[in-house]
Amino acid sequence: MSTNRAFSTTCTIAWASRVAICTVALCTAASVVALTLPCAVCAEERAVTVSATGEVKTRPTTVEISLLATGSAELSSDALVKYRTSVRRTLDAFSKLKIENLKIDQEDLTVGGQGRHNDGADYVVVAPPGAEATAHAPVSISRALRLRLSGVQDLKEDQLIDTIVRLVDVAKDSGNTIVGDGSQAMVSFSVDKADALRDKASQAAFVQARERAAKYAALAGARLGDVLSVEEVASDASDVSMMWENPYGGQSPAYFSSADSRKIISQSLGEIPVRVTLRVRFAMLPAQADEKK
Amino acid sequence: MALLNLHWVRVWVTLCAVAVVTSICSPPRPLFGQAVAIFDVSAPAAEAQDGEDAKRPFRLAAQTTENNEALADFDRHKKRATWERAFKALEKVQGSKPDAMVPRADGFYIPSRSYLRQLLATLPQDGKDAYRLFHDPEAKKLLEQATGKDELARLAKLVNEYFITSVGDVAADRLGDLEFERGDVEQAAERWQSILQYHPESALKRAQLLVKSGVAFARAGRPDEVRRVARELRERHANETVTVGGRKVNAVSQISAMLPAEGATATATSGNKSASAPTEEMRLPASSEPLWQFQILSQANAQALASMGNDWGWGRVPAADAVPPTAVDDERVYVNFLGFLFSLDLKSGKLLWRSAKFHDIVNQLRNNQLLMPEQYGICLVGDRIYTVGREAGKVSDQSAPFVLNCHEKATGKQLWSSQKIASLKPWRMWGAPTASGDRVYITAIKNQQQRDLHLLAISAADGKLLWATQCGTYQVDESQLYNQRSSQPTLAIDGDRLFVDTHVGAVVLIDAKTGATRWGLNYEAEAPNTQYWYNSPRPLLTVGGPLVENDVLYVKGMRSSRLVAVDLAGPTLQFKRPVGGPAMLIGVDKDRLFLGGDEIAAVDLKTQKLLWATKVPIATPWTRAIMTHDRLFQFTPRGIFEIDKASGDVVARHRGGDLDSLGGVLLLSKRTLVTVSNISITAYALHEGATAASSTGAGGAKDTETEKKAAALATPTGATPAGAAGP
Repeated sequence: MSTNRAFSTTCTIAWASRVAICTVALCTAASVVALTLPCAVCAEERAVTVSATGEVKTRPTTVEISLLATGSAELSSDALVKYRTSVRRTLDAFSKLKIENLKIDQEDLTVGGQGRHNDGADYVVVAPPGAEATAHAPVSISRALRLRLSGVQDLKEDQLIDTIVRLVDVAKDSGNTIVGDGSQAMVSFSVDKADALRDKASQAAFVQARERAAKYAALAGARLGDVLSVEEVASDASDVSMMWENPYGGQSPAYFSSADSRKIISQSLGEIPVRVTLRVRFAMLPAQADEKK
Repeated sequence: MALLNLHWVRVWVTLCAVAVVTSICSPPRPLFGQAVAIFDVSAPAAEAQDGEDAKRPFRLAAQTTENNEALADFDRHKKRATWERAFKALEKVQGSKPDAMVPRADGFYIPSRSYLRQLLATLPQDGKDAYRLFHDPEAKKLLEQATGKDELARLAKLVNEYFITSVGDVAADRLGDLEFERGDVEQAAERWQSILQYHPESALKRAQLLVKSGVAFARAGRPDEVRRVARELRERHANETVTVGGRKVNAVSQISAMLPAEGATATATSGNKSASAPTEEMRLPASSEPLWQFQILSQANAQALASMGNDWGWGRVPAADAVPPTAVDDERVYVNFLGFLFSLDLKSGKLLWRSAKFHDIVNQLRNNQLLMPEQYGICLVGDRIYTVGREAGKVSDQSAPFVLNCHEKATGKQLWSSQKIASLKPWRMWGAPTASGDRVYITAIKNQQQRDLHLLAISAADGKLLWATQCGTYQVDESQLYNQRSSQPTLAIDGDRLFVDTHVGAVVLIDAKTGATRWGLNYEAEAPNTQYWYNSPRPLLTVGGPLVENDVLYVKGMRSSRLVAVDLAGPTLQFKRPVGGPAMLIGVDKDRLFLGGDEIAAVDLKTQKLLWATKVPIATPWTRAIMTHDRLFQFTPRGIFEIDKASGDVVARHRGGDLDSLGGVLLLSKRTLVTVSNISITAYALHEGATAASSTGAGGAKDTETEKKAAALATPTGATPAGAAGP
């Protein structure tokens, strides 16, 4: 009984090992085929890849200032009174300026605890030690108010500066925190509806890429064929002194795929470059003489 | 076996852990036999509060533990109605120091004698009967002996020790009469009020006592109290007659004649009570062009001062944004700039005199990080100015004490100095001076006892020390704070009542005449943080108040986030509400209280609701707003803001000529607005009629009254209130 059982086990192992060996061999063969086949195709394809940047300069269309209207107090009702009066007065103050094309967007409301609050001076309002964990913890209600003055491309520079100064004065007098106050710029300049400009820059980049690729093809004794691929390359924000707005608040040199949310922002007043870099791959065809042969 | 042992060890450890956690998390319970604090004078809160007191940033001058135990014994025996033992226990307390304070269950500390009086007055009837059984004979004997030259002393002893005996009310009435005749009207009023309050079964005519106390309050300049008395007479004794000067008169009409005119009341009452009481109406000047400007520090020196602390890793030193204590009268501006005194002509800004040159002040300050600019002060009285500071040559000497000096206003000549007066030499001044009548009041600490805060009354004429009363003890030695403002006590005078806010968790009421402490109150506050790390952020600490209006005291300590209102008729806590830590008291009117700091805000006094809050730019904690009848003004780094008191809306801004500064203090005098910043003093001409009430018509009398009273006020920087610095 035991001999039969041992024999049966031995046969099973031998059969399994054969199956395993066959499987490994098949997989290896498939991999080799898969890896070598494209190479073979590549080896047969003649192509040239070039990168080119197209640039279109434009004047900013919008001036933006971001304020943080906050009401903060130990009693939530006090925080609400402070917040409401702060927003109302800020809106009133700007509306009294009677500036055309000035729009104030009220962004998302935030309710939270307050650790410390910078008052724009050397001082901070520090919650008492342990306050965060007690009923004394202050409640802070805040909302970002974004001032957008549009159509500024049509204003003369002096006129624009005067308007900006008036806006900054009111913003500072309101006692609210100007977002970005700590950095060099408290005002930003942006280009709205940049898609058309990007299209222009893309066209310029493509033309430039084609010209450059044609030159390389000629050097290689070939002529340019069809476009095999086009890839838009992310530009380095620092290179072009611009950044994409983060739609989730704040500003960062991040890029977002959604074309609708894109907007070009500069911290300085001047012509803003809109740049698009493309990496284009062209097929290379034999030169005319080779074809005749 | 070993496993079994291990199991029991685990169980034991778990039980211990649970016990420890439970003991930490559960609220503290009184020990067996300890008095339980309820709102009842018969239950002294002394022992229950002992533990809390140890943690307070400022401890009031409480009585000894022995007396607290005696009071606890009394309470225990009272509950058992073992009266003989109960009264025996009280004898210990009666024999103790009269200024020792006893904590009441509601948080107030009152002198042991007052406490005992209240304690006995609230005994049940059988307790009172027992007390009279034991003490009536002695009290009656004292009353009989109270004649001739010993009359006052014996009556006082009777009232202090045997007030609830059957003759206590008669003695208190007679004592009140005597004190009234001697001119001690506050004390007299209190005697008559105490009969009304603690001797309800007294045979003395209630209306008569009310009229007497009302007259005394009127003489003491306490119109709010007069109004309260008049109200009570109207409601309860409308048709009763009283005897005044040998003739019978109607009680209500008698006291109504004492009431100040309604219109005049606001100015007169608040003028001497609120540090920033409503002044005359004012509108900002139309032009930013100043009349003149006096540069205290050049821009370069201001920057050098601002960066000085960086060399030491302190960050910005407090002196960098300090605004010098300044006062104005109708002719001159007086400045105490870190002990360097100078005077400017109000019309031209010309330097009239100075105590010493200070062109190299920044160099002098480089080696002193314990500069304490907050401890400098100034006040004007008559033809003199009183200043607090280190001597001019010792500004950089950390060990140099702060001294009180008296100068001639016109010439700057020093008349006396506390350093040269034997009775004042041991004292280091600690706070801004304030003056009333022939006295200067100032808080001070003693050499070698730098945690004990005292209030000193000093003869204004010659600097003689009249009395010194201990207010309490700091938990932290505030004279050793490097990186932040130390607590500068502020004072407010209301008749004979002198309020001391320590700004570190306690307010004390002291009799301005005798120096006797009437009561003290602890409020929530943080002790200064002595754990300093390099370039640590400084908290925004502002100083304002205390304020008195309608017989209510308002306190907001610099290290507290609580606004406290005390009904002075009690005293009882009227309300306590959270406000922002950097908030400071600006002023109070009939219905609203105004707070300053990084936000100007109004609080409804009836509901205690926040009505509005307006953010203003702030760059120095030394800023101090002024209040007029319908406006608030604050000097900010972006100019002077004019705010509507009703809505909180900014109705005007005056950029002015000092936009390089951090803002600061506003002073008002005779159609001239003076701004004092960290770097300069600037004067602006106000519109004709802007200070309309200052010199014409019915307002003239009010202003005289206001000026007289306001001159006695202390303000956070030591400057006298706007428009009130005149002789």
